[in-house]
Formats: sequence, structure tokens, C-alpha cells
Amino acid sequence: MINLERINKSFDLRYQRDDFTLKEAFVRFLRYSLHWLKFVDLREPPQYENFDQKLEQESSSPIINVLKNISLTIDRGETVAIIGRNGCGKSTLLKLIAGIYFQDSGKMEIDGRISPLIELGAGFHPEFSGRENVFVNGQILGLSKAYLKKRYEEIVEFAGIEQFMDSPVRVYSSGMYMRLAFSVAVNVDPDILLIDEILGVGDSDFQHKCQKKLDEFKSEKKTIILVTHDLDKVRSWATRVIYLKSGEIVFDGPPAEATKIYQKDVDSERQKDDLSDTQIFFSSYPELESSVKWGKVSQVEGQTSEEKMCKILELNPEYPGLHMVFDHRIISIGENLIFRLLNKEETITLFEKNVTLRVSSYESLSNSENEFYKLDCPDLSNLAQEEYHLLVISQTTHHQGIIILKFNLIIHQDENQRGLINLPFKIGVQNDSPV
Amino acid sequence: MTPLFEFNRKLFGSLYQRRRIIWALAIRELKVRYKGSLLGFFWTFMNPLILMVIYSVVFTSIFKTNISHYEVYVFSGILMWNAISGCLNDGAACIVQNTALITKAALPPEIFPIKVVLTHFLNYLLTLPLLFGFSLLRGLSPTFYSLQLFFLIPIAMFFMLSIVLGISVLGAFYRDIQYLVNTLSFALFFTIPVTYPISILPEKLQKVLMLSPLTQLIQMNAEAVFFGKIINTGILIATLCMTVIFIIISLMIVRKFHTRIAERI
Repeated sequence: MINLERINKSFDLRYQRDDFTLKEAFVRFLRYSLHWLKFVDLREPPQYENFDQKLEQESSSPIINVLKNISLTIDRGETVAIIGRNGCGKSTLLKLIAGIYFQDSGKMEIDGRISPLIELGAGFHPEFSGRENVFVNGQILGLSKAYLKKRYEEIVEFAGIEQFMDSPVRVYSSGMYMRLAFSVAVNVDPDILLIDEILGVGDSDFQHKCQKKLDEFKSEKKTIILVTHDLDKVRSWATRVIYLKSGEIVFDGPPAEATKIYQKDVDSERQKDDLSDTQIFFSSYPELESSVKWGKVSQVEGQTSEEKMCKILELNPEYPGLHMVFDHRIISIGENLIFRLLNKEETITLFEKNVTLRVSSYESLSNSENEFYKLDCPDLSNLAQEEYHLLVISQTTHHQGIIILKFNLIIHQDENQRGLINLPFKIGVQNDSPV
Repeated sequence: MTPLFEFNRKLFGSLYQRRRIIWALAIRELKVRYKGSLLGFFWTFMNPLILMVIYSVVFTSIFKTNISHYEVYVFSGILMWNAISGCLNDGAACIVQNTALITKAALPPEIFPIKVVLTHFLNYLLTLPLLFGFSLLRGLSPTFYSLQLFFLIPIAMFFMLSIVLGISVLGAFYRDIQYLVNTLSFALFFTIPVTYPISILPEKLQKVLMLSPLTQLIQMNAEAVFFGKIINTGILIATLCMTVIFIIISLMIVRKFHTRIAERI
């Protein structure tokens, strides 16, 4: 059984560099101790500032919290998959359980013998023959020499590389190397098996063999914790999935549900990445994604990262069109706005309309300290299924045509609906707002 | 931080559990060192032999040292010194060099300094027959006093481990420790009676140099295998005391850094 309680783990990037030296540590120590002893005020010498600045440039904060307040209990016999994007803390969690890393705070109780299969063949030495490496690597994994001798033939047969056992492993192909490493590793007999991305080994025939071996572990009621990106495997094999997102558990439950949530996140992130020139970006649009019909979406709220120019984008069932609410305080926009729809290539203006701003009368905004204007845009529901570009241009007496909003619009057409507006894809703001 | 006693109990427990791994790694290290080279295991002997020839030529013909069987003395010193300096130099780098085994195979980092010491003293043991063969060849038959090596070598190993344990952990955190140790061990070589018997020095200097545990080890080694007498008990006790002091310091270093080693390498 594994029990984690409010585990926190952070890494200090200042020390993660390869070249952190005694000299630096000594200078730092000397500097602070002299300062402390009030001999010399050396705390902020200029060259040292540069050193710290250099570090700051590398990352905004030198301390990154990799795992935040993780609590979980894994019972005996569970097959748990940990999924999440790169850098979300999966491997760190696994290494904490393996006892390689140590938590900063929190309590961890582990009951049972652990075999970490984090990287196969870590103990292989390139100069040695496969035979010798089987023995040394097996011992590193905690197997006895006698046991290895007994199982040697079986290990070699499983790897399927009999004729290479006396050649040094440096001449092995990477496939052979991994097969041998895996064949040794599956002989472990732990209570808890930690697996990190090692299942994609060899050809399909070998993978089949591996899968069988792992199924055996599963049927022997061993606890298996698996880190993987292979969602098919997760769905078909795991009994429970933990989805980590930037160091926090966002979902813990059945595989089908977890992979769905994860897939959705990945897709929306990808969309965001594709539209890399986005300046304002909205965190998530759950309502929009679930809406089927034009006009069903009642409110879309997002946070703008920089200039909070457009607070709310919404689709209202009462009157078709796109409604945007602007914060008047943050940006002074002219009362006359031009609403312009362009084709995908931004070459043809499909239509253009002057619209006027009016003060919003929404209750949800009334207690806000900002003043909002609401922009009602023309009905877009008759548009053909295509991708469009949408511009909102502000015209004041001082400035001529400042683009205050720019995003692209994808219209889906279904037989039973006029269209689905699939927003947020690209909301770019050109930030030359009038002063 | 875990209490000192509790921490050490756990540490020794986990190291004891992996004693076979340490042994297997040390044996592998020895095999690696001489594998693939043309002369095979003979290389073990070549380096001290060549050094011995150089020192003998330099000191007997240029400095006119007139100690009988000087070449045997130098040879015995070089063998011991090679083990000591090998421990220091490899010790400083050993944790960093085995990053994969620590962060991927979850081996506790502290096994590597042990492996280093074990490797170098096994190597020393393997070269001893050569030393005795060589001294026979030069007309100096080995005495029973050489049997003192049976407890001298374990003492030397414990002493080296007491230093290397701390150095290896510090070396994982501060990369320049490796260079520092390299340079220091080179400098130490001249303060150590390898190329000269300590008795040729002025009395006062002898006393100062004998404070160094490395000098003590070399001296005891020479007494056992070259001079053929009972090891000076005063020196022996001094070395043992040093070992205790260093092992405490090293364990304190290990306890302080233990939880962060895997992250820093």
C-alpha cells in the first residue's frame, strides 16, 4: 500500500546547473557571513548581481514547485496509470515513491518492496558481454546471483538474442539492448512495480510478450504504477488513472473518463499553440465546447493576459450576433467601431458594419469596479461553413482605424442549426491603444 | 532532518542490503579497467613498475640516495600511494559518474564511495604478489611481518572510506571539488614518504608530516612490507582516531546532503 499525504516537492533551479561550484558557494558564504558579522557590506557587489540576474533570466523564479499538495492512496493490486503533459511532475512523483527523490514536506508511507523500472539497462556497461551485464544488472535490480544463474536461459530466451550473448553490448542495436534489459527486469519480484515509459520496446512480437508478462504481474495482485503517454494502453490496462497537471492532481478515477479529460485538454492546448500570435488568451471555454447550436452559449468568460481589452465574449440566444464587452477604463476606445469580417486569407472584406458602443446593463458586471461597454455585432449565423477573420476597428477623431480586436472565427454548419461559432481560437490584439 | 542515529541506522541498513551490488560493481570496475587493453590485467603492474624505474633512476643516480634496496622501497610506496590517490580522485567523481544508476536504478549514492575504496584496495591486493616477487628478485625475502597487512589493509580501507564518503557527496554538489582533490593529492604526494624514507628528514619535520594520516598509512605499509618490523602502535592508534573523526564528519555531510543528491547530479 502506498499512502501519500500532502506531498510537496520543489526544485531550486539555482543549483540545477551543472557548473555550480564550490567557488560560487564559498563566495556566497563569505559574502553573507561578512555581512552578518558587520565587517563589510558586501552583500550586493555588482558582479554578483550579474550572476543573480543571469539566473533570473533563465527563469522568472528559481524555485519551481513540481508537486503541489499531492495526497493519494494506492491499494495493493491496483494498476495505476499517471498521465499528464511533459513536465507536469509524473516522473518526479514516481521518483519520490521510488525513494530517489525526497519530499520537501508531507508524509509518505510505503508498504512493500519496490522495483523501479524507470530506465532499463541503466546498469549496463557497454564493454561487457550480454551475459555479464545480465548478472550485474540483475543484481542492481536486487536479484541474487544464484537466482540469475537459475533463470539465465529463460532470460536469454525471452530476449531472443541467444547468439549475441557473448558480444559486448556496445555492438547491440538499441532494440536488442532494450530487449535484454527488459528481459532481466521482468524477473524482479516486488510488491510494487514502478514503470516509467518503458513499454514501447522492440517489435510487436516482443511487445506482446512484454504485455503478457505485465499481465502476469497484474494477476499476481502486484501494485503497478505506470507513467505513460500511451492512452490506448491506459484505457485497456489501467484500473485507475491519475491525471497530473502542473503538479496537481486534476483527476483521479476510472481510465475512460480520465483519458477523455486529458485528450480534451491536450486538444485545446494544441489549438492555443497553433495560434501562437495570440496576445489575449482565454483559459478555457467549457460552455462553448459543449454547445451544439448557434446561440446556445450564454456566457463565455475569460481572463485576458495583458490588456484587459475585451472582458467578455458572448453569444446570446435572444438576438443572433456576437457580443463583446469592453472595459472602458482600461482602454479608451472611440464610440464608433467598425466590425469587419474578412475571408480566411484576409484578402476580401465580406462585410463591414458600423456599430456603436453602449453601456452594459448586465448584473454580473454591475458590481465590478470597471465600466463596461457592450458591443453588439451583426448576425453571423448565415455564414457558410468556413474560417473567417474578424476585426473590430476603433475610429476616434485622433486615430484612424486602430484594430482593437482580431480573431478568427470558424463556422460549422449542421442541418438542424444555423451554425456553431467556435470561438477563442485566435484573439489577437494590436496594442497601440490611444492614450 | 532525521535524527543522526536513526539516519545512520537506515543508511547502513540500505547499504548492507546492497552489499552484493557493491561487490559486483567493484569487480566489474576492475574488469573494465583492464579489459580491451593488449596486456590485459598486466596493466595493473605496468604503471607502478614504470614509476618505480623512473624514481629509482632519478634518485639513485642523480640524487645519489644510498638506501639499500631503494627500488623495493619505492615500489611498495607507489603501490600503496596508487590505492590512496585513486580512492581520492575517483571518490570525488564517483557519484556524478554514476548518475544513471542513482536516478534511474534507485541505488543509494553512498554505495559508490564504498565501491571506489573496495576497487582500489582489491587492486592493491592483486599487485602485492608482484611486489613480493620483485623484492625476492632483488634479494630481499619477504618476512612474516608482511602478514600485518591483513589488518593494515582493512584499516587503510576504513580510513580512506571515511574521507571518500564525504568527498564524494561534496563532489556531487560542487563540481570543482574534483579538481581540488586532484591537485591536492598531487601536492600531497611530495609530503608523503614514497620516494624517500621518512627517516632521512629532520626530526621536527618528521613529526609534522606524521600528523597526516596518509603519511601514517604509507609509513605503516612500509614497516610491514619493507622494513619488516612491528607496526608502530602510536601511529596505528593515531590513524584509528583520525578514522573515527573523519567518519563522523563524513556522516554529517552525508546526512545533510543525502536527500538532495539525486536532484543535483
